[in-house]
Amino acid sequence: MHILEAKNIYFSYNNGLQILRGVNFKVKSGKIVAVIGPNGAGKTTLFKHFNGLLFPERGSVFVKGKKIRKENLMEIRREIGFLFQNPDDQIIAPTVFQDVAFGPLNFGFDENMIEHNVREALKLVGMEGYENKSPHNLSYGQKKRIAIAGILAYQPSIMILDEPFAGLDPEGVRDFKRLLLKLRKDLGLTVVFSSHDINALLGLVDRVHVMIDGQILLEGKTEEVLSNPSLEKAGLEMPVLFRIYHALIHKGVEIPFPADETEIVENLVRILNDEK
Amino acid sequence: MEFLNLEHYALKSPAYMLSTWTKIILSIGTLIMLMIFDLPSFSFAVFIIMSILITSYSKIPVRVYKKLIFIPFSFLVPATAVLIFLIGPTELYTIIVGPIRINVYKEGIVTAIQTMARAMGGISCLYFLVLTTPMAELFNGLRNIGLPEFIVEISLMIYRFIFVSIEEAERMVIAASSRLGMAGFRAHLRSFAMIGGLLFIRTWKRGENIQAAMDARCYSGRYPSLNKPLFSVWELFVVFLFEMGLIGLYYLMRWI
Repeated sequence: MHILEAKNIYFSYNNGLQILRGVNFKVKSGKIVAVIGPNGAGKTTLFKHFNGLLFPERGSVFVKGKKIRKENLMEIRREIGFLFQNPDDQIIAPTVFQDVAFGPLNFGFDENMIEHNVREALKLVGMEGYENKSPHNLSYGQKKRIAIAGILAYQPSIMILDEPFAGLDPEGVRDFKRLLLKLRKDLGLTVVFSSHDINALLGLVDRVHVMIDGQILLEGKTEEVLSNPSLEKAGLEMPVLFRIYHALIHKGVEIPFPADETEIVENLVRILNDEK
Repeated sequence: MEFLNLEHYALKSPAYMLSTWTKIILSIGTLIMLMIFDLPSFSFAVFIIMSILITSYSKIPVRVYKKLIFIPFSFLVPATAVLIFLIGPTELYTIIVGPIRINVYKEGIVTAIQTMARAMGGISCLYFLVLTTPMAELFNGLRNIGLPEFIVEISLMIYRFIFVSIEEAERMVIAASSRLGMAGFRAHLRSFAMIGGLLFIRTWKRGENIQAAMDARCYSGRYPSLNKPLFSVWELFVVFLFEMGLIGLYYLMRWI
C-alpha cells in the first residue's frame, strides 16, 4: 500500500495559470523519493497539496489511504511534516525551544511530552543545547535543522521537504543527506523532497520523479531516471557520473553501469590493465 | 547595530537564570523608588548601582553598555539643557545675543540635574531588565499576570518579524549599494524610498508564507512558552533586601 498518493490532480492559481495538469504520484512507506524539475514545473504547488495547504480542482490526494479533506486536515497534518524552502518562513517563534514546541503544542501533546519531544528532536538534528537561542542568531544551515526539528517533534510519518539543499554549501548538503538517511533508518520516516542538485540524489533516494510543466514526465528507480537521456531534453542535467558513463559507451568502451564513482574508476583501471 | 544582539546578551548573561519575576520586580521596584525619592544624588547612586549590576553581575560588556547608555543620553542632554533657561526666577547669569536676553536660572539648573539623574537611574533599571530577560520570557511573565493571550501572541510575532524585516532590508540595502544606490544624498533618498516600498511588499509576502507554515503545523491559537520558573521566593527575598538597602541609602544621603 502507498502511504502517499495523488490521483490525476489539476490545479490553477487565481491568475488562471494552470500549474498542475493531471499529476499522478505514489510513494511507498519508508522510501526516500525526489521530485526534480526546472523552476516553475509545479513541484512546490504539488507538495502543498500533500499537506492540505492547497486543494486540487480535480483529482484527489490520499495519505495512508485517507482522502485529504478540509474536515480531516488536523489528522492529515499530524501525519505530514512540511519543510519550506526558506527556514525563515518556517521559524516563527523567538526562541528555538518555542519554535520546535509549536507543532506538538498545536497537536495537543501534554507538557512533559512536548519537553521530551523537543529535546529528542533537537538531539536528532544535532542542535541540542540551542533551546534558548534566538533563531536570528543562527546560520542558514542551523535554521534548516531547527525547522526540521520543529517537524520531528510531533512525529509525523511523512516528511515533505521543498528544496532542502538550496542555500547549503557542499558540506551542508552532505550533512543534510546523512541526516535524511538517519531519519529514515532511526524513525522509519518516508521522505519526499524536491531538488535541483541532481548529484546530491545519488546514494540517497530510492525513486525519482521528473516534473515538467505540471506533469510527471519520468518516474522510476534513481539510476534509471538519472541516466535517461530524455532528462537533458527536459532542461535537466544527468549526474556527472552518468554523463561519463554515456560518453564512454559513445566512444565504444564496454563498461557496466556504475553505481558510484569508485565502481567506474575501478572498471576503467581494469580495462587499462587488460590492454597493457 | 548592537541593539539587535540584546537578546543574545540576555541569553548569555548569568542573570538570565534568575526567575522572570525577580528581574521584573527588581527593575520596576527600583524605578518606583526613583519616582518616590527625588534626591538627585540618590538617583545617581541608583544609576551607578544598576550599572554595576549590569556589567559585573550580568556580565554585559562595558563597551556594549556604554554604547547603549549613549543612545538615550544623546536625547536627554539637549532636552534637560533647555530647562536651565526656562525655570526661574533666580537669575544666575545672562547671555545677551543682540536684542535677545537669555537667562540661566538657579532653579532651572536644579531641575535639569534632578531630571537628568532620575532619567539616568530609570534607564539603568530598564536596561537591567532588557539585558537579562529575553522578550519571549518577559511576555510569558506578563501573560501570567493576565495579559490577554492574543496580545502576547501578536507581540511575539511582531518581535520575530522585526528581525526578519531587518534581514530583508539589509539584503536590499546591500543590493542597492552594489549598484551605487547609496552613493550621494539624492541616490540615497531615491533608494531609501524604493527599499521602503519594496520592504512592505516583501514583508507582506513573508507574512503569507509564515501563515502557511503555521497552518502546516496546525496553529490553534496557542504559543509555546519556555519551561522556566517564573517565581522564586528566595530570589524575591534578596530583591526585598536590595530595595530596603536602597531606602536606607536614601535616608543616609538625606541625613548627610
